[in-house]
Amino acid sequence: MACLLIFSLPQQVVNADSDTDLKIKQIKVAYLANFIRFTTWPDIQSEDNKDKPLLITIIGDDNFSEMLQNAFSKSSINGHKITIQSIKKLSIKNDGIIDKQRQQISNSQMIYMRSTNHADLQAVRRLNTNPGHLLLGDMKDFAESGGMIGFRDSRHGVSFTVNIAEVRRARIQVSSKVLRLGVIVYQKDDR
Amino acid sequence: MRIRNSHHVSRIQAAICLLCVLTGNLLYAQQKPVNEYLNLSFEELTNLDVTSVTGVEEQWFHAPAAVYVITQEDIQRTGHQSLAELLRLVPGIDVTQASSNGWSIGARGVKGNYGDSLLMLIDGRSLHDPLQSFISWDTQDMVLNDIKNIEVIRGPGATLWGSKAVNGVINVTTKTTRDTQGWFLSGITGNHDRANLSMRYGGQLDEDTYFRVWTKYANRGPFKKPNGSDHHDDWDLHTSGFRIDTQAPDGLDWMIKGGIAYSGHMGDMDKEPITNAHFQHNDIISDGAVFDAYIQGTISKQVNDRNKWSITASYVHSVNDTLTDLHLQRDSVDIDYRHRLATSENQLFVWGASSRVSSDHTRSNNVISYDPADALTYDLGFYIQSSTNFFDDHLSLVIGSKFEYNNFSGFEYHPSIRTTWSIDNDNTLWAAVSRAVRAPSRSAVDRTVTPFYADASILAGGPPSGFYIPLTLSGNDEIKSEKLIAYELGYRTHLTKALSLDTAAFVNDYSQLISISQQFNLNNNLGGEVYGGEINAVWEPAPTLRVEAGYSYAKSFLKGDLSEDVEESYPENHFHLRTYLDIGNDLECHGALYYTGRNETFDADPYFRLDLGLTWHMNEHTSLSLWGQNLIDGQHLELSDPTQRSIAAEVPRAIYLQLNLTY
Repeated sequence: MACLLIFSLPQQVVNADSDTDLKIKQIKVAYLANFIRFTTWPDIQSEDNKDKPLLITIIGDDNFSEMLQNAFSKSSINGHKITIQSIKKLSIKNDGIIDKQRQQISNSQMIYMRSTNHADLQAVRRLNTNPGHLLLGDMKDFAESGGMIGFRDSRHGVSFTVNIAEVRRARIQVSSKVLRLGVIVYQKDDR
Repeated sequence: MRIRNSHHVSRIQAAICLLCVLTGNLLYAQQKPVNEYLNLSFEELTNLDVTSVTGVEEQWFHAPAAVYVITQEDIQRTGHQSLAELLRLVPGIDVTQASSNGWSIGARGVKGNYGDSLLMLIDGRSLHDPLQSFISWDTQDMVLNDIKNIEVIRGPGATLWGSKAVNGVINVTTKTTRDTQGWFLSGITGNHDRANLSMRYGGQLDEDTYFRVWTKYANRGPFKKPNGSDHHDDWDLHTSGFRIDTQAPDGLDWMIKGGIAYSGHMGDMDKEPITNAHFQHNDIISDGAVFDAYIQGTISKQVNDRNKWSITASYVHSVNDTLTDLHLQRDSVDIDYRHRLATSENQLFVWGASSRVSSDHTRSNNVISYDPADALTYDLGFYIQSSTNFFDDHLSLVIGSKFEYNNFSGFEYHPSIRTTWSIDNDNTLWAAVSRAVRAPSRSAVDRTVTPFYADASILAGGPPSGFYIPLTLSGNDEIKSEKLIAYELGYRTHLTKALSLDTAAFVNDYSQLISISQQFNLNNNLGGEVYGGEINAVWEPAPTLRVEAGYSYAKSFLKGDLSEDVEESYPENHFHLRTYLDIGNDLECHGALYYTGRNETFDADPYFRLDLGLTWHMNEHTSLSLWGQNLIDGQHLELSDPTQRSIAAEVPRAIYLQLNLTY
């Protein structure tokens, strides 16, 4: 009878693509949590600003910010509440990001570019208003193109690349553990 | 009475039914959190899946076997400069260095008699030598920075990997070429690692095709005899190789890699029997020369998320010569096909077929000979395994077997049943029962070793006659396969966010192990039980500190013609403690303390080994490391022939400096 009960459990047909996509997104959420844990932002981690939330901006957002919100809503990392804001699509006019979005990005400690548009990355880099942010992205060769940390999706999971020169240029401290576990790459112009 | 019994049975049935319903409901009710990866550490995320246990990617934490993963961070922060030495990190594995270029490695209380009982693979290519039935640890070298990770299974892995994987599987995975772009240069110099130079370049051929080429030269000094003099086992090794990867958009990937390893100076001391003396021999220099070359190709197709197959084919050419005129040469071709298919969300099948054909040519010396001198050996295999998940993936059941046919022992089979109960994301309980068989090899069937000559009359109990006969240890064509039934139980837990624990216990029931009789014959008279366990704890109280401690115990009750020797040939206790400490962004401190218990048979006392290292990341391209290894003693013994204690090789204290450059 026990066997009957066990084998009569419903078996569902696999929805291959959505399962893989979901898994990759969940892994990236976990990566972001670890990047926050292993990064020090002097502007919010000083004694005066210790209660200030850590702001993450998602550019090119699908439903990722929602997933992030669910994961971080009830917890804090390194003593900071996490606040998430979303920019569905970057608006670039006259070679620059529009003021509202510029303001959003400039206030962020972490910027995660889901957008795979190379022009978007260069526009964010040109802002350079807040060198105290960690810039991550999904675009192919993201770190080689001037980003700091680029995700690489594969059939075996998710790995990440690190552009050490860009990380060191920023006004933040990223643990050497991140540098050890990532694939070190160099900006294509620099090699 | 009958009524009462019947009533009693129906109550039990009802209770079982209720329990199942309740358990099922409870487990269903205990829904997984939105994100099961959220609490994983960086190390767990970057080495998320292991594949060696069930043949499909699964989270290490939920794998139904005693599996340990050596990461690239471990490689960088422990200072070991060979694959063999890196295995010291794994609880339950005994690494014994017998000379500067010789290792003896075993798992869970047993080191294979007449061959290794562990299987080692690099990117799916087996390193098992079918002629001598062992792994040439000395020639398995590469740019260690190019290793992604090393999965080590303690316990049988024969259901997927066949008759060479009786006591464990060591699966080395190297980085894809996309992850090794640009230049990597490394130079080491020290008192033992006299020169160790690595150079690798990775580039891109087109949008989806990447490559790397590399070369390495290592020159290592001799070990010391007990009186402090050199043991004459210094050696050098040149290795070079390449790898090309293409990831096609239609899901068809291919990889080609190849390499060579060459040494013209593999220092060694050997014993040559004196033909006109009773049990006497000369110690002679028997330096070796080795040349290995291989080429390997893998094609894999990800049809969809449920359906994937791969074929790996490799060819190996290996030549081994010694100054004493022994010549061993072999050519092996391996083909391995693997397929996995998920028929539903809860049901997965893995199956595959493998073949190995090996042709060898030998030339004898006055100690070792093969009869016949040349031979063709083969083994063919097929395996199938089913994985079923129950209760929303909380419970999984893996059942399968490999079926093999080889030219020595004929048909063999390796069934196993494994189960995992993932209580929640922080607690996993697993259990396994498996049968594994190690088929005989050429060394057990066709090889004759003549260590001594003896006076025939003295042997018969009379006075010396001056007539000497060779005492030989001859192979036995009646020898049978060694058999193991293994019972394993394991538990993994995240006690806190910073502290995790991995434990395993085992009982291994061996029979028909190959051993040497008192009459100096090979037989299958050895058998019995080995039991023990391993516990490993990882504590990461801060991003800058990681502490790992492990203890393993193995007690052998093997009985045979020379049972005491066998029972005491493996240290019962091993312990290690490692720390990785970051000071600021640029400085790393590393420390490791290892303890190995006494090895009675090989006359090695217990020893502690202390390794300390310091790494300074000078800039984004350059790092400099200073390492001290075996710091406690000036030299210590790990293994010796008790009759030759005075010329045993002892592991010396070593200091070296390493400079790494990446561009």
